[in-house]
Amino acid sequence: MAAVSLHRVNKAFGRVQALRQVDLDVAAGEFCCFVGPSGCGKSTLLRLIAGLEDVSTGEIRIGGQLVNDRPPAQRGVAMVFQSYALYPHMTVYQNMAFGLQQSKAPRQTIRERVEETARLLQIDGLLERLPKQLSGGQRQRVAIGRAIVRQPRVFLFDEPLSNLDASLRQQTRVEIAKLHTQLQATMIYVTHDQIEAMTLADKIVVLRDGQVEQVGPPLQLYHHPVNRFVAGFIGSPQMNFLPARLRRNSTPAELTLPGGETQQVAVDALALPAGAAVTCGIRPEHVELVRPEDAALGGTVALRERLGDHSLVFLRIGDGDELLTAKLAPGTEPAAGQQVGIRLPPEHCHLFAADDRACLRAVDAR
Amino acid sequence: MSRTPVLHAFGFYLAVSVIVLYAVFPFYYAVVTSLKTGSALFRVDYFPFSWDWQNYLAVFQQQPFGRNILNSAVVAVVVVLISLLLGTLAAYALSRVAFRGRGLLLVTILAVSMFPQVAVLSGMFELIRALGLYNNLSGLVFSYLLFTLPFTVWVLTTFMRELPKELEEAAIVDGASPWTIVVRIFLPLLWPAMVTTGLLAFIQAWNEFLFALTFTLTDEQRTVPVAIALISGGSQYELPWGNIMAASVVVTVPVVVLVLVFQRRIIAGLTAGALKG
Amino acid sequence: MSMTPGPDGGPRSPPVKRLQPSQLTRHRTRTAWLFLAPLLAVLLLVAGWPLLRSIWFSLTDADLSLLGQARFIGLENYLVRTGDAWYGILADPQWWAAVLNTMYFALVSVSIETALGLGIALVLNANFRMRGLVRAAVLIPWAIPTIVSAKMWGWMLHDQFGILNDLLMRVGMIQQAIAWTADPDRVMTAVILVDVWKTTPFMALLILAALQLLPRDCYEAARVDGIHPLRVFTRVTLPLIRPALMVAVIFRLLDALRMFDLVYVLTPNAAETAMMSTFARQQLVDFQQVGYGSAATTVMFFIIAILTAAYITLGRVRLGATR
Repeated sequence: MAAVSLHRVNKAFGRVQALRQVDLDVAAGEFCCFVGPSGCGKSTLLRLIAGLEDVSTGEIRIGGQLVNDRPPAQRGVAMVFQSYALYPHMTVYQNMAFGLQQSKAPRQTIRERVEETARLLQIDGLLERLPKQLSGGQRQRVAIGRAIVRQPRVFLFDEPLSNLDASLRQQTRVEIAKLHTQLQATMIYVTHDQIEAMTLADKIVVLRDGQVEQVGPPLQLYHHPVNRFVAGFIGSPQMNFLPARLRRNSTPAELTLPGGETQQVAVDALALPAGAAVTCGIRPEHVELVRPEDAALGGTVALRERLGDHSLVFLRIGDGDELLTAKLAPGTEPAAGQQVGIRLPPEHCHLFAADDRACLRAVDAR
Repeated sequence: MSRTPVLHAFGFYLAVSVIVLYAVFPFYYAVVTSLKTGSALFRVDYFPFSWDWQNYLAVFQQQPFGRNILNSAVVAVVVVLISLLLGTLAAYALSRVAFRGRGLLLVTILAVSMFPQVAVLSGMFELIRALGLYNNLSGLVFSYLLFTLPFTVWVLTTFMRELPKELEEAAIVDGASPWTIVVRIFLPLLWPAMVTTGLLAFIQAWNEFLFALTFTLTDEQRTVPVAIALISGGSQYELPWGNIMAASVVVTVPVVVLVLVFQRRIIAGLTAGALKG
Repeated sequence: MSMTPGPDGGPRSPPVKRLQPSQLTRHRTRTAWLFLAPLLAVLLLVAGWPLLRSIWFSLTDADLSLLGQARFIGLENYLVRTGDAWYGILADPQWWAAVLNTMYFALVSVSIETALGLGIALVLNANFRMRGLVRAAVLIPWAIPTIVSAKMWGWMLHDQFGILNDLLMRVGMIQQAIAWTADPDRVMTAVILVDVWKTTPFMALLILAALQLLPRDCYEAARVDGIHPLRVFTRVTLPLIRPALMVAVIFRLLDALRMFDLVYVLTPNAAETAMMSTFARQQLVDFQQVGYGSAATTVMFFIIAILTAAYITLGRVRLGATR
C-alpha cells in the first residue's frame, strides 16, 4: 500500500480552470473521500491521480515516486468506475483476469488470484456469467473485484454507489468499509453524498470550484468547519444559518438576531469589529424547543415531518420567509401552528464572518 | 384517431402496395422476360406465360459469365477486407484520440469520397499500367480503394465514437495498449458495425462500372456490370434482350437476398454515413 | 482571473498556462498517427497521386497511345486563342452543353427524388406488420448495379417491345410508341426517370431515419390540441427534419453530378444526355485525347470541389448551430 501526495496541482481544460493549487497528502492505508457539489473538480482530481488526465502543473507522487509521466498501468492504481465499465462481451472471470493478462502474469497466478478475490466478494459462483446476466449489485462487486485482483497500491473509486438503489447502496457501503479493513488498502473515494463520506472516510477533502476548502477527519469537519460552505455541506439536514449583527466581540461573543434577541456564541470573535454583520450557524440536531416563556427567541411551527426515528420541525421566526429546522426525538415534537420557544445553546453555535470564514470555536470536537 | 379508420387503413395499404410495386416491378418484369425466348420476346406480357430457361443457359455459355461473377465477388471481398482493416485502425485514431489536425483530416477524407471517378481516370490509368495491373483483378482492387476507403473510415469513425469512454478508460487502467484495446475490447463490440460497413462497401464494389470498364480488356477479367453492359447479339442492332434480362436476374437475386436479410443493418449504415456525418 | 482571496487568505496565483503536452498525450498522439499511417499512405497513392497526375496531364498534349511522350503545353487545353477563334475546353460548346445537361439532370432528378422520397418516408414511418419486408423491397433499386437497372429499364422503355409504351397506349395516353432512348426530346426524361427510380429509395430511407429521430411528444401534444395533420406536417415535421434533409439533398446532388453508368448504358449516343463524366471519358478513351480529356475532368473536379466545400461548410454550420 502506498501513500499519495499532490503538490501544487493545477488542471486547466483550455480556458477553464478545473483545479487550483491542490496540495494533498493521503497516508498509506488511509480511506480518503473527495466530496463536493457537481463541477467542483473531485472527479477530475481522481482522474489525475489515475493518470487518465495530465496535470497542467504540479506533482503527483505515489509511494514517494513521481508519477506525472507514467501511464495508469504503471502507477500501481486500480479504478472502480461509476458505471462499472465491465467489458460486456467477456465473462466475469475474463473481466477480472484482463488486467493481469496485460501485465503478462502467469496463467496459474491469474487463476488463483481471480478465484480468491471472487470468494472474498462472494461472486465465485458467477465467474462464467456475462455482465448483462448480473444484477446491479453483482456487477458492482465484479468491478471491485477487477480492481482488487491487480493488487494495486491505491484504489480509486469514482462515485461507485450512484447507480444503485437506496437499500443496495447502504449494503454495499458496509461491504466497502469491511473491505478497507480487510485489505488495509489506500482508498480514494469520490462521492457527492456526504453521508457516504462521513461513514466511510478516515479523512475527507471538501472541494468547491476546483479548490480544496477543508481537509480533515469527518468529525473535525462536523464540529469545526472552516467556512460556511463546509458547514452547510457536511451534515444532514443542513445547518441553519441566521443573519445577525455582532454586539460584543468578547469571548463568548454576543449577537443581535434580526428580531432583536440577544444570542451568545461560544467562539473567539476578537478579530471582528463590533457591529459587524455575521452569520450564526446551528445544526438542527442542536436546536432545543422549550415553552415560549422560557426563551428569548420564539417561533411558530410551520411544518413537521415525522420519520419514525426522529422528527423534523420547521419553524417560522418573526416575519421572515426562512424556516429554522429542528431535529427532535420522536414523540417530542409540537403540533403545527403551535408557538414555541427556541433555545440555541451557545456551545453548539457557529459564527461566520462576512467573508464566510468561521471563527474559532471554543469547544473541542467530541 | 380518424373518423373512418377502415378507409384510412385501405388508403394506407394501397399506398404501401404502390410503393412496393414501384420498387420491384422492373425486376419482376425482367424475370418475366428472361423466361421467354424467340418471338415471345416481341410480345408484351404482364405475367409469366412461359417458363423457358434457355436464356439462362445462353448467358453462361456465350460468355464466361460464371467467371465474371467470380471476379466481381473476389474483387469485392478483397476490397472490403482491406478497407475494414485500414479503416478500423484509422477510425480508432480519428474517434478516440484528440490530436491536432484531426478535424482537417476528417474533412479531407470526406472530400476524397466526393472525388468524381473520372477526375483520376488518366492518372490512375497510367499508374495501373506502370504497376503492371492492367487487365488484372488486382488493378481493380487497387482502384476501388479510392472510394471504399474513405467511406469505410467515415462510417466506422461514426460508430466508434459511440462506444463508451469508460470502457476504454478501464482498459487503459488495466494496462492495455491501443492495439489491444482495438482488437480485444472494441472489435467485439463493433462487429455489427463492421458487418454493416462491409456490406455497404461490398455493394459499392460489386456495382462499380467505370473503372472496371476502363481497366479491363478481356472477357475473362471482366466483372459482372461490364459483362452485362457488353452483352451483344448477332447483329449490330439486335440486342439479345432475353439473355440480358437473364443475366440481370442472376445478378440481382443475391443482392435481393442480401438486402432482405440485412435490411436493418444496411439502413443503419447508410444513415450513419450520411446523416450523422 | 479571480480576485477573491484564496483559502489561506492570500491572493490566488493566476492560472498556469500549459507549457508542453505531457508524455502521455504525446504517446497517444503518436499512436494515433501510427494507426493512421497505412490509410494515409494508401489514400495518397490511390487518390492523391492519380488526381495530381491527371491535373498534370491536362497541362500536356498527352495521347493515350503515347502517354510517355506528353509535352507540356500550359493552359492550352483550357483556353487558347488561335487565329480568330478560341479553343480549349472552356470554349468548347459541347463541353458546356454537357455541363448544363449534368446540372439540369441533377437538379430535376434530386427534386423529384426528394419529393417522392418524403412521401414514401411518411408512409413507411408508420408501424405496420410487414414494415421490414417493405423496407427491404424499397432498398432493392438502390442495391442493384446501375448497369442492371439501366438494362432493365432500357428494355421496358424499348420503342417497339417496351412495356411502358404498351401500357401508355392501352391507357390511351399516347397514340404512337415513343422512342425513349433514341428520340432527342425524350432521352433526358428517360434518364431522369431511371435515376429517380433508382435513388428515390435512398432518399426515402434517409428521410425516414430523420423522421424516426423526431421527438414523439410534439406530435402527441399536437394531437391533444386537435391540430390538422397537414399543418402538423408543414409546421412541425418539415422544419424539424430540414437540417437532415438539406444534408441528404446536397449529398445526392454531388452524387448526381458525377453520374456516368446510367447514361453510358442507356443513352450512349445521345448528345442531349451527354454528361460531364461521359464527355470526359469519351475524350480520354474513345478519342484518346488524354490532355484534353484531363482538362475536362479537372474542370469537373473543381466544380464539384466547390460544391463539396459548400456541403461541408453547411454541415459544419448546422452542427455549430445545434451545439
